[in-house]
Amino acid sequence: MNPFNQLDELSRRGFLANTARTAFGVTLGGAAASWFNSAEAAEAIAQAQGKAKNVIYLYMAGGMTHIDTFDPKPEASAEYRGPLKAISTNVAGIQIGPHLVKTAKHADKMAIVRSMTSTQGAHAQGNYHVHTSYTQRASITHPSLGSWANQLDPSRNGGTLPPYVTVHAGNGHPGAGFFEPTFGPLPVGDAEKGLQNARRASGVTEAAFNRQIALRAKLDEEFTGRFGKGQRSVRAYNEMFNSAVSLMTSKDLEAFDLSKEPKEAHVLYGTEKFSKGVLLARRLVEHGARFVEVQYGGFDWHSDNFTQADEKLPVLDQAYAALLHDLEIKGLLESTLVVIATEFGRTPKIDDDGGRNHFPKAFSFVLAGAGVKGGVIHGETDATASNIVSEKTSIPDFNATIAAAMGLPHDQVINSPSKRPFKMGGKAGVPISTILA
Amino acid sequence: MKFLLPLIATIPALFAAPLSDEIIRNTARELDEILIEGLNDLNLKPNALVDDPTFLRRSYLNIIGRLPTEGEARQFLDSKEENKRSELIDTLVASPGLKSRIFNFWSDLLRLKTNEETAGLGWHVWLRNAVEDNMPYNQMVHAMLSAEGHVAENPAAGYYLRDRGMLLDNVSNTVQVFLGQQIGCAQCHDHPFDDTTQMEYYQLASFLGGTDYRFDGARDKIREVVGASPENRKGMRPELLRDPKKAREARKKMAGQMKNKINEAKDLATVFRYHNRNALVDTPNKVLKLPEDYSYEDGKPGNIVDPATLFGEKAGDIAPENRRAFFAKWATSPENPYFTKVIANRLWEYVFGYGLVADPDDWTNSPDPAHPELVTYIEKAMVAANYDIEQFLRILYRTQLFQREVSAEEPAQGFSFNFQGPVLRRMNAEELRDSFVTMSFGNVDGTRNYALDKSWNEYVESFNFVMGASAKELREIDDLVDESEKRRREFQKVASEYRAKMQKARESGDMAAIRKLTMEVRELQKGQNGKRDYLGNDSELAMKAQAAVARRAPKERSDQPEFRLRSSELPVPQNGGTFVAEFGGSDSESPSSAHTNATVPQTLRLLNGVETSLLTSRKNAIARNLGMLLTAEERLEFLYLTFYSAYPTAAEKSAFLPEVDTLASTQTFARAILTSNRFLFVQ
Repeated sequence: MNPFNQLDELSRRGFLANTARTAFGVTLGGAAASWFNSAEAAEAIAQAQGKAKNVIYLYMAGGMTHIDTFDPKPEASAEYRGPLKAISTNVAGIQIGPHLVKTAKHADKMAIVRSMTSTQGAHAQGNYHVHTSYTQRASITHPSLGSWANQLDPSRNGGTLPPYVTVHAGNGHPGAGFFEPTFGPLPVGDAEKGLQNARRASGVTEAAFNRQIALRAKLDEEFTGRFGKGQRSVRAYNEMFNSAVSLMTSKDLEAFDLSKEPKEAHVLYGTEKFSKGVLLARRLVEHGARFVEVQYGGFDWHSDNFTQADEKLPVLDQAYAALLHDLEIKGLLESTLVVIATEFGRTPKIDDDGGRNHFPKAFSFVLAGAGVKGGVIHGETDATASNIVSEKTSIPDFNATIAAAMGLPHDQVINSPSKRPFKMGGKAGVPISTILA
Repeated sequence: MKFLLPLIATIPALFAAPLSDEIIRNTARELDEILIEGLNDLNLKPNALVDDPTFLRRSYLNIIGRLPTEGEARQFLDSKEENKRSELIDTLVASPGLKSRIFNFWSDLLRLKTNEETAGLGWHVWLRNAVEDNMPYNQMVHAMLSAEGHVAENPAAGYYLRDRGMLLDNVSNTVQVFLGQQIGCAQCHDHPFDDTTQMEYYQLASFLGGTDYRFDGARDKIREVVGASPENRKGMRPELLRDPKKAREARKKMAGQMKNKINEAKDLATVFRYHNRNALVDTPNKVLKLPEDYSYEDGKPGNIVDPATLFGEKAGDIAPENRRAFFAKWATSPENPYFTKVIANRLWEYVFGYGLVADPDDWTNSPDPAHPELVTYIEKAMVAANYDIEQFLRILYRTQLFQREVSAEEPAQGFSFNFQGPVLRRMNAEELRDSFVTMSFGNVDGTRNYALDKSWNEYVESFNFVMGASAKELREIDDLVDESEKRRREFQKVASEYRAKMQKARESGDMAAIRKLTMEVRELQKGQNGKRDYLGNDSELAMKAQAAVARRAPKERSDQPEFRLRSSELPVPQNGGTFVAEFGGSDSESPSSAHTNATVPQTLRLLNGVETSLLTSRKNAIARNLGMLLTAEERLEFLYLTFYSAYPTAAEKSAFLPEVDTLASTQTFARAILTSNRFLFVQ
């Protein structure tokens, strides 16, 4: 390990601890020595060195089938695999589902984790767990990964673009959790429309606009005095107001504007709403956004699994392959980690309605690009993709791996306002050191 | 701590009229007394009572879901009546706006999806009518939980059809929504921090284990017409004939006839092919089995699970055909330990901004409530009010608590709130949108969107027509459906040819060809979509039958544009990008998904979006009225009353009168108000 990197690392951590303590009102628990819970994990993070400056996180809402996508079982009987076999990829020995034709040409960039397992088999709970590393409780809302990233390393906050953006995310997104609202994502409801209303209305002069801003503060003086301290939601609206106003003058606003993309890019990614979301994510990252999540809904195939697979998987295939290709030729893949995640897998055995049901016991996630090795498979399931045979990987493990790839201390403790300790990698997540590069 | 029995317990069990003022007043007073005693025990004092403007604004928003108009505000503020507060509450409770706000509450809680198959529309209309008629809560829930059959005959079945094919999810949500328990985790394994085991989960789900998503009415109808059903292979037995040769011939002949009939039955089934999506039936011999990967010692994978309740009345031995009926009765019984208090607590949150039990969806893991006696009291009050939602709400609105100042501190997550006063909250998405609608067009609370009812009625009429059709008519309808299906396939074939051509043109970069093809496809689609009549035939028979045989009920246009209607009159959920979605309106994915979290796009919308034209465009009442006012004083007063429901104070006048001197500066000032927290929040 390069001693200079180590020095940087140490001073950076010191800086983080300080800023977090002073600027964000959170306390870092534990001594510096306990930041890494094992020598192995420390080594893994050292390897990754924070190569992943940016993350594009693709979330398949509803629970994406694993056996039909990234963990095919061509040898299994038809009551498991249905009509689907598997296709080869550009890496010898790695096969994926037959819908993922374009993706197959990028397997050399991908680390497929086939041994994901969790205990959360309901949508809301599964979604929450995957996004936060914790299980859902009534007593607290945990922050999501993007919020963790900006909390642990605030260096990208306060830039000209919001560091954390979600595209097409549902209401169930945990957002900033117990962190201050500024760490929450900027939600884009429709990628094609981008960020609307970001320009001053016609007929409003700059002077009038500035006057308006000053008047707002004056009108709210009493209200803020009374509630600003005790009410987080009031602070949140004041913070969002400031962010919105500064965003209006950002030179990077056009990062949200898909019409600036050449026609070929639109053709490359595809015509669906999700395709546009992925294209937007690439644009945002290119302009300096750090963590962009794009959701693709409708993977809950309790019936007609294979009809739905025919409809949806080609859309994912095209957009995902386009993204990897595009990032590569733009030279962004070295600094951008691309994640495919979902709340759980689907029952490998097909039911009477030709569907598959929730299956948290075994499923697949995929990492590609910065900070991870390409062309690798981590973990294995049995002949019917029903049980994990090796390298059981929990959601906290997976999220700790993302942290490691980003060069963030996955086990650094941050206390909630109620003084309870939490970590980006959950209670006991350990990065998958063998796939970090 | 003394405990008071609600006074309304002494009134007759059945009533149709609102409760008397005396009963409401006394019950509200008892409720306040219990609260004050509870606060005393905690060494806390209740907050002071609010001033008239705060009371006015809170009442309009919390009761009817919008701000008062300038005129409504003046009327209340200027009134010298001693009882004007309780009178305002009673007036608002009896007004149509109350129903609008309650409907939004139900559609968020129940995850209503208007456009999910035809069942969604039927359920939406049914729910809207249940709110309109103030159907007692226990009856409403019972109707949904016991519903079966086709949604055209029983639209409450839409509750189950919302989750067609996802029975276990539906069970989890049912228990969460109506009984306040999170048992979803036990679907896959024993609940880690609750007592519910996976076995108990399956035992409960087993009440609904006979559910099949199909429409038996179609089979019966076809049998009535042709004397066989599509799946019927066993024919009638030919009468026994002594002569074996003759008997053989007879059997052969009969079998041939039967085959024809079955073929015809299969053919006719296309008429009903979308009906199975919109119906459910209990099949007595269908049972729920333990999942493939069941791993506990109390059962083996594939074992049949007998139904058992989680708490309350035990199930005993239930005939399979009565499983759902028992479940519905058990879940909605006043004896059920959770049914009543869960809704009472939800409505408490609806009025005061936070539950007495902190997480209304998770009673087991909520901290102990600060006022346990109040939880018991409101449960009793709900039973005594016969689950009359409107009258129960009226009691809560008439408390002193409803008139107290909000607390300066927000409730801390994971702790019970002590209710020295209500909770400060942001206007929810519908309240904000509906306030803008009212500012632009005045009071539209009573305007219903009959388009949805009309579409639904059209569907039901057509359904009834097809179900009552003669054999000859049904065969004709079938021919029309077959023809239309043929046309659809042809269209798809042509469309896919076009797609291939288009792909080729794109790859070769032939822009001229792309343009030409795009135009042609557009024309083609226009031709296809332009046919509102699915059967593409204007005979009387086709017109009567088409709604019932199409995939979706016909879409009727509203006679009012959407922006002149309250949010409760629009289909739900509202899509991403709409005002309601942007401000956190329900996405109908999980129960109570609506939120009021701040985002940058919301602020940008209030700063620069179309809503600012409220203040500048002469099409809107606000801008028009502002333009007509002659003095700065009048303009300031008008803006304050419209957005803050208050007259400006002397200090505010001296600070802001110079700001409303010219039309331009007035608009700047009004824009500032629009983004102010004092406007966005409800004190």
